[in-house]
Order: sequence, then C-alpha cells, then structure tokens
Amino acid sequence: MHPFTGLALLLPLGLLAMRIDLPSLLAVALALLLVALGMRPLGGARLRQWALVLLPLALGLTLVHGRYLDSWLGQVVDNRQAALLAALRLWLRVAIVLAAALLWLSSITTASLTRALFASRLPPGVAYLLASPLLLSEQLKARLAAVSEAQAARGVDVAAPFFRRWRSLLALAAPLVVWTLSDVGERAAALDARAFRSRLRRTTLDAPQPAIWERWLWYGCALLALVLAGSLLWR
Amino acid sequence: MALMRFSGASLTRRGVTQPALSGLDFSLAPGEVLAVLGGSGSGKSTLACWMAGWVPHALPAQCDGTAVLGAESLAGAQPVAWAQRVQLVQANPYAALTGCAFSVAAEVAFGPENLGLAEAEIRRRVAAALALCEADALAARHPASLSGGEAQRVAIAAALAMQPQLLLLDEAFSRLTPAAATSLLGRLHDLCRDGMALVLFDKQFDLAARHAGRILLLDGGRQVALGGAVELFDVALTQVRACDALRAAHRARQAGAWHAEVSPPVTTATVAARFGEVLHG
Amino acid sequence: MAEPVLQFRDVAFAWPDAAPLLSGLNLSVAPGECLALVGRNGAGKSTLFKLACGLLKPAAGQVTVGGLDTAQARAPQLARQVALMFQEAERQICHDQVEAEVAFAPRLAGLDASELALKVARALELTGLAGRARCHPFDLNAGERRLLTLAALIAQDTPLILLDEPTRDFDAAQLACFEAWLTLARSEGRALLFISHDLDFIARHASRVLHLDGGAIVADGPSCRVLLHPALQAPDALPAPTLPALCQALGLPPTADADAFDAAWLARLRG
Repeated sequence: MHPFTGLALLLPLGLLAMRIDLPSLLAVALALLLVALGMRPLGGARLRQWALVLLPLALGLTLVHGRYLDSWLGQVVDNRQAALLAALRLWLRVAIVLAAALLWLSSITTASLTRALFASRLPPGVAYLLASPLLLSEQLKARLAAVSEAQAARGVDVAAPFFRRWRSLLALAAPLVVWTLSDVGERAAALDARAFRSRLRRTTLDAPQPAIWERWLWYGCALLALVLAGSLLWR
Repeated sequence: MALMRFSGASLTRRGVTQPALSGLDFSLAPGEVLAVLGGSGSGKSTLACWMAGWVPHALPAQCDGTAVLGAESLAGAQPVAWAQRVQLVQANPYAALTGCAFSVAAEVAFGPENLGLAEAEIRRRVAAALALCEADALAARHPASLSGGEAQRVAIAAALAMQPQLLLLDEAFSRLTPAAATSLLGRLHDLCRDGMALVLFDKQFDLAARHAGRILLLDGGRQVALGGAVELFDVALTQVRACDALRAAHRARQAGAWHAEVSPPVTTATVAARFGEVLHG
Repeated sequence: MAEPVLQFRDVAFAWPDAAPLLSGLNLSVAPGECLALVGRNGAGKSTLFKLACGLLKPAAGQVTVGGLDTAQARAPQLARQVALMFQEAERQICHDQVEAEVAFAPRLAGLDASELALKVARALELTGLAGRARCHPFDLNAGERRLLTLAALIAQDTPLILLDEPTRDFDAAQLACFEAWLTLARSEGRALLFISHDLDFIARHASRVLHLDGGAIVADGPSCRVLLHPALQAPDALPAPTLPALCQALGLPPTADADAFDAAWLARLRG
C-alpha cells in the first residue's frame, strides 16, 4: 500500500470523529482501532505508546473538567455530569486520532514515506521538512546509542536504574546538544554537496507507485474531508 | 586553460586575525593529479573546503587574492551550485551520509537524483561508481551499518556518481587496507585520463607521491613548496609521514650516506633499486 | 603461564538480520603482549574489540577479561580491566572540556581529588596536551583529538588496552609521541591490542599478529610471517613491512628498527 493512502484516510476519520457526538459510537470506533493496532507487528509496544499519552490525559481531563480541584477547595460545583460528558467526548476524539495515526505509522516505514515524499509534487525542500521529524528521530536514536556505548566503555553502568546514573546522564546533556548541532551542520553540508534543492524537480528511483484505486481513494477522502469540514462549519 | 587557479590567495576564518591559509600560488589543469601534503593543523582540510566552494557560505571566512574555478570566483556561488563540478570526500566518511537514504545504492543515487537525471542514467552511474569502489556487495546495506572502511568506499562512490570535473579526496583512504587503497587510487587515476582532475590531501607521502604529478607542501597554513615528488622528497619527509623504507632513504640522505647523483626514491617500488645504485655507483 | 588478560572461547557473533560475522573464535592474550589485528575492511575487527571489552555480548561462547565473564560482569567492573580507543574519536568524547574528558573514567572509579589530579596531569603530560587542558575537544585538530582519547585511556589505567586504528589521525610528530607512550605502556606490563592498516607500524611494535578473515583467525604469529599474506599487501610495491623487505633486497640482516638499519647501512656503505 502507498504510504499516503493511510494518511488520506486519517483526515476524514479525524473530521468524522469531530462530527459524531454520541460517546458510545465514538467508543466503538476507538475499540475497533485499538484492536486493529494491537494486531499489527509490534502492536503491544504501539498500544503502550498510545496508553502512555491517553491515560494521563484522561486523568487530567477528569480533574479539570469535573472541577474536582474546585470542590476540594470548598466551592460548590454543579453540572458536573454534563462537564464530564464533554470531557469524555474530547478524550475519545483525541484517542481515536492518535490510535489511527499509530495504525498508519505501523503500516509504513521511514524509508517508504521518505521516498514517497521525495517523489511527490512537493518541492524537495518541503518534502525534506516533512520527512525530517522521522529522519531526525533515527539520527537521535543512533546518537544516543553511541553515547551510551562511550559511557559504558568508561564504566557507566548503563543497565543500572535511572536514579543511579542521573549524574552521568546530566553531564552528557550539554555535549549531546553540541554533538547534535554539529550533526545538523554536517548533514546540511552533505545535502548541499549532493546538489540537494539545486533543481525544482528531482528524480526519485523506485518511488512507491499508488494503484489506480488508491488514487481514487485519495480523491474520495479529500472530497469527504471537504464535506465533513463544511458540515462542521455550518452546524 | 587551467581548471582551478589560486594566486596570492589567503583565507582568514571569521573571528580571528591570523590567516588559516596564506601564500597559495598554484593552478590545476583538467586531468591533473595534485597532492597536497602537510601535518596535523597545516590547513589541508581548510584548503579542501575552500576548493570545494564551501567558503564563505558553509565555512565563514574572509578570502583575499585570486581563487577561481574555470572563470568564476570560488566565493561567488552557494556550495550547492558547485556540487555538480567539484566533489569533496572528507576523512570522516560518515559526514558524507545524507541520512535520507536507507540503502547504500539509494545513498549513491541521491546526488544524481537531485540533478533530475533520467532513471536509466542514474542507475548506470550508481552501478559504475559502486563497481569502481568495489562496493557492489554493499548496495543493499543500510548506510548507518557500514564499517569505517566500507563507509569510505561508499562516500567516494557517492562523489563519483556526480561525475565531477574535480575530485578532492581529503584523507579519504585512511580506513582502507593498503591493498584496497592502492587499487582504488589506481582506478581513480584512470578516470583522470578522461579529464577529471584529482587532488589528494594527505599527511602520508607514499600513495600521493606515487600518483601525483606535482606535490604542494603546506606547513602552518603556508604553501612552502610546489613541485615533483623527487624534487620535494627531502623537504617533504621532514614534515609528513612515510613508510619505513622511504624514511630510511631520507635519513641516509640527511646523514650523507647517499650519493649526490642518485635521485631519492619516491615510491617503495623503487626504493631498493635506489639503495642499490648508491652501493654500486 | 600467567593467567590470560583476555580470552575468547568458541565465540560467535552476528548482527541482527545478517550472516554470522564471527564464529568459533578462540584467542588468548597474556599480560605484556602487544598484538596487532589485521584483515580486510568489514572483516569484523572492530566488532571483535567491542566483544573484548563487553560492549557487545557474544551470541555463543564466552569472553573473559581479567577473569570476568563479559556476559555477566557490569560495566564498572569491566572498565577497570579493559579500555577501548574507539575507531572514531568523535564518538568516544563525552565531555566538553579536555580535562573533564580525561578525568571521566577515574572519577567514575571513585578516585579521590588529589589522586585524580595527579592521574589527569600525567595523562596530559604523556600526550603533550598539558597546554590544552581547558580547550573544547572539538577545537582540537584530528591528531590532537586522537591524543585526547589516548589520554583518557591512560587515566583509565587498565591492564588491557584496545586501540582501534590508533595511528590514522597522527602526523609525524604526534606519531612519535604515541609510539613513545606505547613503549612505556609495554614496559609497565600492560597488554595491548591494536587494529591497524599500517604494516610498518605493526612490524615495529607487535609481538604477535592476528589475521582475521571469514569470521575466524586465519593466521596467528610473528609479523614477518603473518603480514606477508597477499590479501594484506599492496600490489606492485615493496612488500610491507618495508624495512625488513629493504634489508632483504640489500642483503642486510632483517630488522624493523630504524637505528639498527641505519647502522647496518652505514657499515655496508663504508665497508
């Protein structure tokens, strides 16, 4: 599947979640998405990522919208039920969008998305900008691995619990920033040296090719998104 | 006509008063092989960046005198504009990786892709460059997984795929075995017959002397000598590294244990013969 | 025989999703030995070093350093037994000042302030970096940066030292400084292992050379024998190490020592 197809589905799905008010319907959609996510390779890890963001968010929303803090301070709170229902709706919408995004990310690789972006009609610089969060995260991962290797060779117990090596981690923060900055400079020079952005159009070898149905699906999704956005505005 | 010309040229990095390079006077013809030799901190890498067109945009500095590529001043255009004509391979091969490619073949193809060439032409260039650098077997590997020597082959292949008029190799062989470095440099030398000029920046005498027509010697950022390997042997070996046999010849010449009419050996292939000539007159 | 400082027993290793890089590897290094490791690019030399200092764990077999099994030992214990000079100096440097970088390992080992100062001063002295103690490592040139990683190893003060292509970044003067330290470290009884492509350098210093190819050690012996393998030699040049080869061509007693050669040459010329 072309990397953009999942992305194309994401947009109307998000808008649809905004349009639906019935919490039970939203909950069913979320449950379906989570089951699908769990069935992907590394599904467990992705579900954990999802939970890591959404569970604290649930707690925060309950405290704030339920105005429990206010009632603990002795204020009288009315309409708590309605406020909590609104919070639940908000939480379900965020949860759906994040689960769908994770589901999309599980269907692509950094490599295929990067190639698809470079092969798109976007100018190379814009394509690079869009791909850079993914590219940068790969680079940071490599840097962190190098740092912990360099530390371990000197006797930092990288297997020790966090609180026992926080000092050595702290001592590394500044050099890591310097390293990363010098990496960025190096990377920019490497891109320049290979004539990146020297022309408006570049060739991309082995670009992911969308199937005909995928193209129609993209246009359909765009149209649907337009309709949904319109209905949200008109409401 | 010269491909590149430096005349009374000097370079001062931004923020300092002492020039990093000065007294540069040399020119480079198409197809020529020039070696730039010097020790650590002699200014080799700065000169390499300058020749690659990185000054002043990527390397902020003030330039004086003449430094031209063809008819254009080197300081005139953005580095990206020079990329099609000049390629620099630095000592650290990982610096050449763009991070946008997820296989060696894609990494080497990245430059030609940016030039907007036809797919068939890109594939031909990638295959030729990888074959020349004996990196065909690495084509499917992830660039981040390469060993130092493997990454150096890929960095050189990526530069060659741009088909530059001028290839600058700044200690670009340092991680290769002597056997691999010698044969790779031999094949690069063949490309010079088709007009590509080659500049080898090194702190070791041997490989450079074997292939370069002329040697430019740098010391403390100053051009101290320019000439053939035989001519520069005595002065060069006081400044740069060389294999033990050449060092022995150098010490013999310094100590007067040599005949004036026997020229110094500049490659290990001739060193035994030269010593023999000294012995047998 | 003394207890080996480093031992590999039937060690195998493979990177994920790749063919095995090392298999059935056996190796034993005695205290005071100076070993060179040679082989083509990508043969697994650097990987062998990372296994030897416990940064990588073997997939099969056992690696012991100073009696510690690297699969079980913790990094602080291993760092007192073995120090590694990484192939890329930039990937090894953890601090933003020369002095702090050199003090990193001994400080972790829990040395008191006066001992620490002494150790750092000595390491900087031996590497000629005393005048640059307060510099940022990125402001040093490539050779000096390599000397900085050496200073950090000297301060780590271990019985086994692994050096991955140590001479690559040095110019003539820096190389002389490094070789002086190498001689000193050997006289202190440390075991040294280095990876190098400079066959002359190997011949000058290594008491034993290992040739790694196809995931195993294919030759293990004195430099004059192991280095002559055609895969290690540049074509159509004087065989390396070049000084013994020159001696042979001139009918002089073979030596890798510069002074010995000079004396022999002078005697030959005069006599």
